[in-house]
Amino acid sequence: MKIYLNEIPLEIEPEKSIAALVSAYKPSADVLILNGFPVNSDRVLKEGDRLVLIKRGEIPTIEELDVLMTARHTPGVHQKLKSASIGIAGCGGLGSNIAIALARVGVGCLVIVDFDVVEPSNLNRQQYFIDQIGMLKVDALKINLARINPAVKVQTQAIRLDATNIADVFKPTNVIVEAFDRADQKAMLVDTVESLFPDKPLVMGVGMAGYGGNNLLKSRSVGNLHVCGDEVSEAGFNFGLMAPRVGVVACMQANQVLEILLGSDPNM
Amino acid sequence: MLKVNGEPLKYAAGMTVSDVIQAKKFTFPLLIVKVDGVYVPRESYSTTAVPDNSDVQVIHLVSGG
Repeated sequence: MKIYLNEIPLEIEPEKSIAALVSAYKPSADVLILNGFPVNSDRVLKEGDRLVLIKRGEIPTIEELDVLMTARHTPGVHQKLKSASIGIAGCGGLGSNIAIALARVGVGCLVIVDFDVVEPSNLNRQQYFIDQIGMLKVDALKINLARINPAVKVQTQAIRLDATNIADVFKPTNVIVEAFDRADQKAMLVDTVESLFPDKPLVMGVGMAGYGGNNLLKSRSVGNLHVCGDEVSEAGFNFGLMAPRVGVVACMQANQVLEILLGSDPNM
Repeated sequence: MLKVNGEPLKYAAGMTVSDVIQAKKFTFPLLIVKVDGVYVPRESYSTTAVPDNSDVQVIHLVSGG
């Protein structure tokens, strides 16, 4: 029968156990992942099973990396994400978090756009490091993404997006993610995308200031438009932006991108 | 009767998107409006008719991100 061992198809006898394969192929393996979930007791393999064997602490080759990094993915997901191109408008609190989440799951390509540089007050919510202060955000983020998942193609544009350049920048993408800070910029983006690409999915983040209030954060979809956030908590005087709540909305947006690319998860 | 974000609003002949926005007194000035799934550009709010029985979705745009 056919199984997949570290993504490589392998013909084995029926009733073969995991322990037998470990013994034959990687006796030093101490992390065993079957169909996306760790196993710590032996069991008999079935037709189509996907087994990944990892030795903790061992540094894989670039070729092995892709397989090992996606061992915990729901089977079948990675292949679909590898062909996707996602545009992210803004690399601040939302954009940097979204880019990292999507890089970790291995989307094929990210087009990241921001004119700004990293400064210290960004660091309470944005995915940059102190040694990156002063760098262009798109450059710093590209470096960070490469350290996380070198298989993701990252295209950068250090520009201010407006109605005249959005078409060229985002035309090749499958989904556009809105990750701006200012409401007027969010308006400009939605107006432009709905006019130029009314069928292209657009995922926005609206309303995430403050702390707590987890149950107020939600997701709403109207046709191609998806909005994550509480839709009312506007950043302003005495109402700041901080990593936890901004991060929740950013990951809701990234999660929405996955649902757009993969359809609903049949497990839910 | 039409629906605005799922809640009923009495229809008046010739009602426009601007009329709906005024009637519902939305908190924030910048909005996203879709009438029966079709996006309405903000410069067209006062000239776009909202039919009776339509489904209107209005989403605030607020700063922060």
